[in-house]
Amino acid sequence: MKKLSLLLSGILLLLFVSACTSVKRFKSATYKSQDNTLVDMDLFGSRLTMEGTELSDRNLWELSASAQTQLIQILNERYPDNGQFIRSLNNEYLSRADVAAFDLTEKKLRMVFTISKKRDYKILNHASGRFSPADRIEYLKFSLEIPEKYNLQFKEWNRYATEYGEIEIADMSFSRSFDLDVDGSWATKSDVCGKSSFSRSEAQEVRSRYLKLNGSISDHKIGVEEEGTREIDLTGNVIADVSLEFKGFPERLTIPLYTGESKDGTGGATVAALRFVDVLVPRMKDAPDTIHAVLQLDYIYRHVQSGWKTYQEWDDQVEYYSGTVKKEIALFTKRDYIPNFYGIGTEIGGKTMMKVRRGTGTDYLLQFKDYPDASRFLEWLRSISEDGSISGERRNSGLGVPVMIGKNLLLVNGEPVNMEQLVKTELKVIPLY
Amino acid sequence: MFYLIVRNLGAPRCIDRNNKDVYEDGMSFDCTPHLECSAKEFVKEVEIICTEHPEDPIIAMVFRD
Repeated sequence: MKKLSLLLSGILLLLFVSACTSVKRFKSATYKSQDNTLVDMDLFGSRLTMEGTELSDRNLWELSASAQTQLIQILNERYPDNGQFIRSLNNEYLSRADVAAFDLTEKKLRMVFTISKKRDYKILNHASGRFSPADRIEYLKFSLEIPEKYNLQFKEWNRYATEYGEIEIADMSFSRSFDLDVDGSWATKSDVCGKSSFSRSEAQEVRSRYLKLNGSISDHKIGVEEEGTREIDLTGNVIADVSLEFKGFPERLTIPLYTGESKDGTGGATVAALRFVDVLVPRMKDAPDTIHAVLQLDYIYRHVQSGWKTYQEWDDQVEYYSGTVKKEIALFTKRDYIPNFYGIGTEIGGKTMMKVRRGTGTDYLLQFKDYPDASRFLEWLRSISEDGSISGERRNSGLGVPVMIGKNLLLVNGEPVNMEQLVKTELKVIPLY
Repeated sequence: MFYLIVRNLGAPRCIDRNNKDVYEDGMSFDCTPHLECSAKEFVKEVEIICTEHPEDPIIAMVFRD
């Protein structure tokens, strides 16, 4: 009989402990009021980077081993002289012009948000106070909205991380929960867009659920909903990685093709031809210094009325407060999204940029992918205007001949420019935006 | 002379010119050229399509000299 009563007592005790820890989260709970001052949220930092790969020069060393061997054998027959042979290996045989087009409208954005509680220790023991060290943010829902005027839209989630875990996402929405294994390692359960769901409960590991997450994304808005279950405070930093896309506007970049050295063997690299590559840049009528977005946070604040006198959550007398924070934040700056294109021109008597008239008779801005490209081309222009030669061939007709590269004519102020004018015009590399 | 000018990232660009004001909503143009234009008087705005990126129409301005 005594054994039976002990057994029953044990079972009752187990049921009691289990009930306290996994179900009951408070002794009493009441909703008090709305208070928008208890929690704050800010964008702590952001970083905008380009998606995809950048264009790069290529030379023989990037070919496969067998291709290198064959080419070296051919080149060795043509260039038995050691110096010429080594120089020929470093020529840019494949140029950026081999890439048909590239896109500068797709960006990756990393945002670090900080969510903070108001810790007002001055009112710690006041009966009317709304702060105790056992308080926590139990639930939050935040959204970030980009105004339509920026022609910018969200494409997809890439990653979301809190101090309780990190999830890699590659979809429009997500719904996951962070659990803690008995061995202390983090695990996630996911249900992404309803397409797939998996659970590791088959492993029969005891877990306690810590955090539930939902995320959504639309053209101009992302939203995240977090619920911290037992004793989990949502205060802290969260990282959200998303892909963004601007509407596109076409630009045509100039790609000079250089030969390794001048034909007489005395000069540096010379421009053998000009190629043109179409690119897409962000479309915006003006280029605002800062792109702003609207951040809104709705939260549920769990205030423990008994203050310090708490051990487990199930013995808390809880007062809930709801609140909303809405603010405009600076998302990123002009420097982050403007393409780093450079042109060649002069700023004397107003800004004038060099153009190029193609064989078809259409004029295009002489614009380069970056500063080094523009600087190298300007250096070449100066060298030909000094010695009056293009591609190593001295022009008999002198300095008055318009500068042509292949069928392309260089223009200043809409007129063909000759070498004499090149000398007189104080040309320099100028950023286009 | 009438000029068709688009503005992107704060930089204006003359993409077409014509003796008559032929510009109307929905017309398509190559948006990459940079022509010399002496635009002085604003005439109107038109919504055009850049042939290189036809998905999104763009607002362009018509000027005359």
